[in-house]
Amino acid sequence: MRIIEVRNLNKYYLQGKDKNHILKNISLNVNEGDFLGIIGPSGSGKTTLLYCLSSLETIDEGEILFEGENIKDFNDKKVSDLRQKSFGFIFQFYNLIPNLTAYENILLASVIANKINEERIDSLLETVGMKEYKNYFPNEMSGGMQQRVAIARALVNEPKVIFADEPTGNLDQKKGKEIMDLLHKLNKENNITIILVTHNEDYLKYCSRTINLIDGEFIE
Amino acid sequence: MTVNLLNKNQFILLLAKRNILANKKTTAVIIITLSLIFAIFMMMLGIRGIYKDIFTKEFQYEYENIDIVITYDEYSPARFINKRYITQNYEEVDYALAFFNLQVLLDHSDDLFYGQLHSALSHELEILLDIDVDIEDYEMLITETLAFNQGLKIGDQINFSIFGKEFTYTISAITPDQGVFRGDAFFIDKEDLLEAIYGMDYLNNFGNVIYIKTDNIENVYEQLTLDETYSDYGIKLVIDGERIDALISEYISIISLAGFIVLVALAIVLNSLFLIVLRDIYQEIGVFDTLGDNKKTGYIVCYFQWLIYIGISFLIGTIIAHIVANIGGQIYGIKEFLLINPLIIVLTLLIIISLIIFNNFILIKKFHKRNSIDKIKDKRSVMAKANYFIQALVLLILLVTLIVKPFDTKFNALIIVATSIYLSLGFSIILLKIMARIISKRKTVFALFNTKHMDLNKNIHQALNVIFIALMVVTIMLTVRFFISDQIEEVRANNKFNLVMTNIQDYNENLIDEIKTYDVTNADPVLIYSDVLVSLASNDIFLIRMLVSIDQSAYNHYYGDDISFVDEDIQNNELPYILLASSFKEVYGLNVGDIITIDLNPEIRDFTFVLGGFLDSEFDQFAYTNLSEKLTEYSLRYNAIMINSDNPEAAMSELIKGFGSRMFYLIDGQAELERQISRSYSVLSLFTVLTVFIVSSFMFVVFNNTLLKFYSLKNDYSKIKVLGLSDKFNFNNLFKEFLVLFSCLIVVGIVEVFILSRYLREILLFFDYYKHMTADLYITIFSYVLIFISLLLSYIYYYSKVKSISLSEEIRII
Repeated sequence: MRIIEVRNLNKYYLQGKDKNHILKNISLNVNEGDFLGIIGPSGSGKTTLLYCLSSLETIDEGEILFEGENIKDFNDKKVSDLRQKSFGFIFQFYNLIPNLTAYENILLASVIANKINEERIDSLLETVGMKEYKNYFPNEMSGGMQQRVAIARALVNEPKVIFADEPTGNLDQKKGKEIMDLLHKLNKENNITIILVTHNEDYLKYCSRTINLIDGEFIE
Repeated sequence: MTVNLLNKNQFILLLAKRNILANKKTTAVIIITLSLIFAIFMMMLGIRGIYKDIFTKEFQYEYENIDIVITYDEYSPARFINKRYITQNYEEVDYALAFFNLQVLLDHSDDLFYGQLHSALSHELEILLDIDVDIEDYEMLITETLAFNQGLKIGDQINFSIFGKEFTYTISAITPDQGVFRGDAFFIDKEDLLEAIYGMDYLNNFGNVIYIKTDNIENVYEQLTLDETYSDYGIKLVIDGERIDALISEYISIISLAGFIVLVALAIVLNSLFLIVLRDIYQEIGVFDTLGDNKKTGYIVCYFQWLIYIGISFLIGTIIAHIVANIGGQIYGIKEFLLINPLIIVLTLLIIISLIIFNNFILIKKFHKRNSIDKIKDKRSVMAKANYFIQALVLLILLVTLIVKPFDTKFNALIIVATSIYLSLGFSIILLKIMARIISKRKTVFALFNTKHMDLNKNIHQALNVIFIALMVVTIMLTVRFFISDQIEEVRANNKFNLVMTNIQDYNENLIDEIKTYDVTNADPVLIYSDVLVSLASNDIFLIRMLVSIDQSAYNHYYGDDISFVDEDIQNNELPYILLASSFKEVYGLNVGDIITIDLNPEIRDFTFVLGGFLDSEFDQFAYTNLSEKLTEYSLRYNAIMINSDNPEAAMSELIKGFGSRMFYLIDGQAELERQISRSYSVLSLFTVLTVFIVSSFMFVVFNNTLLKFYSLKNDYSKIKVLGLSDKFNFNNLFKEFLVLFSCLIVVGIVEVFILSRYLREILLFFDYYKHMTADLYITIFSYVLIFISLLLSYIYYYSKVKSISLSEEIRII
């Protein structure tokens, strides 16, 4: 089932007086359960595309439909609902709250969505291998550990889609592989749709589909 | 430690607490600054109440157990008062005590000294002072002060003379100074005294002063003032609200002006705290956004944080305010605890909370417009955006007001001061940016790093604003403080009379001749009225403490003012003229030729004068009139004689011996002047305590602000240290930064001090007051020195903090 549909997406950025055409007439479909990899060189617009798909960035032209609804028309409340219930995010630099423990960072997401389920949090911590570190603060954890917590946070509200922006970009190869294995497992076992941005071609093997983005245009 | 949190509010509170505790040093700086803001705000808002309390207690100490005093008007002919009428006709009077008070020359073993006689029945003194009085015939009770000053002890014999009769009394008791019985005072039984003088012992109801205690002060006072029986006497409320208000106006208006500027400064200092509080929360708000928070949870965390800061700081600030106020009160001589009006405390809290909520709301609203990723990723220091449009508009308002003067004096002055301060704050930053941009053209670390921040970093701009406003506050507080002390010195310099002989009921010229046989250089008759009520055509009413009329040729023997400038037309006017202090011209819009009506005393009311001009004096409790030239016309007589002598002490002693029996009262002019000034000194002492506290606090705020700057730039300093910048280079760069900031301050500060100097006095008109107060060069320089020291010390500390950054810790959070 088609979960995300993109039609003629165009995105521009103003840099000084120049208007840069970052994304050029992008059209693509993402099906439920896909593990979509977006790859491309630096500056190709892949992160911008990810942010547009995930409502973190506005679009200038075109449409992005999520489950048939155009998210361009969504008001603030609907966008928030999306992020609470349907989307999960994993960033390159984790973006955990420094003054909350691992457990609390995950709890935060469920408090915002008003779907508090402590058992689920514990279960997720176990899944990502962080159960015994649940009371650690981010500055007490390694990068890999922080990223695991970030993944657990992204999953806690049972999202339909996870957007991962270079989730291994800050990690060494071994830890990066562990993260990718985890994501792969979640995709396969839980049928979670994952859209991954990476510049590392080695990770493409985890993906069911790949999009190549060069100068804002994609090649499938 | 994870807390079991299912409640969203508990979560928010937890995160707010964690944010506060995560940066303990920053939190400490914020709380200290906010506490000082609360303390100073409270004191400035409550200053009139504090002084009102102090003046009330002062009168209570002076007249313990008494509510109303009836005495002879020292410049009127009345002598004795009979209390029987009061006790018979005033049911609400608890007691009326008839005392006979007189200044007497005492002799102990050939040592001559003055004492204040208090004579009444023994039980009356017991009632008055709430002590036991056990003295026999020809025994006296003296105060500890008299005993100490003259080395007297129980059993000593004292000789004195009253109304030509010689007396010898033995000291039988010494009591601590209390209420009206204080200073060089002694008590003897009135029965003995009056029997010895008049051969009568039934004059116990008589005295020259009656002390009254009543449960219904207002009612009794009103009745007494309307009672014909006492129309010749002075009837005084011990706690006179109007008099206290008049005292407050006299002493506190100028202090209130300083307070007004201080309050504005505090708002600016408060503003500087927001950036540092919000800096870390912004990133959290961004994360909350990505998690779908549409209920502004992040902003609520921010408000909770402020709530915690406010709660702690309000408590500390209230304590500090009370400590400072009570230290000042103790210095003034008030033994009891002074409590700041609880309404003021609550008002302070509400105002500061409102400012915080408002500021927070504006800042967060601006921030909210940014998208979620920007909120998370943009870790730059908050960049300043200048609003030149508003500055241009304010400049236009300033120029229009300066040139056109569209409103009345005080409103024009307020607009000029407010707009000039606003523009100065903006201009100091513009100057900083210009200097930074000039320097940034070089390829140095200072140019790329320090000047970039000076140009764009809002934290640094805020810090410069705080330094500027601190300079203004320090300058104004010191100006007011030294102005008050200069005023006191001016009064001392302008009053040159040694002695005043008062209570003269039937003056004739022979009296002058008589006095001149003593060791005196000048003796001139004078008409003196005290505490006169002045009414204007505009229905304004005010009190003047001393109205004096003496021959113009004799005036400068006793006073330093010039009164020779009066127009011939005014001099020849059929009405007597009056000269008032120059401040009345500004406060009431008076002009030469205006008609002034004065109640000279209970007998002489609505006496009309023509305004002849203005004395070049800041002391507005003194006025001069040429009424003495029209005595016959108005059936008046001189009621006092001013006397100067090369040897005033000896002259006073001889004059008391010679004239005391005629019940003339001799006042040591300079001692009386010191007594009048003593309250001013006490007010000044209290204000000095406040000044020291406020000046120190603002110097501390300057120091704190530099620290806040450090905390906001700590991360960036780590990055350049990682790149290899040595401590020596950092020191040099920080020193240059300090010099650039201080240079901006010098330029802008001098202009603003000049403007404030010119227009602040006109803002005093809002308080119905006017003084030619200006900031002089030395005060301005001294203020600059204080701020220089504060800023320099803060930068030294700043450098030590940069030097000791733990790179390994900082890099982990880059």
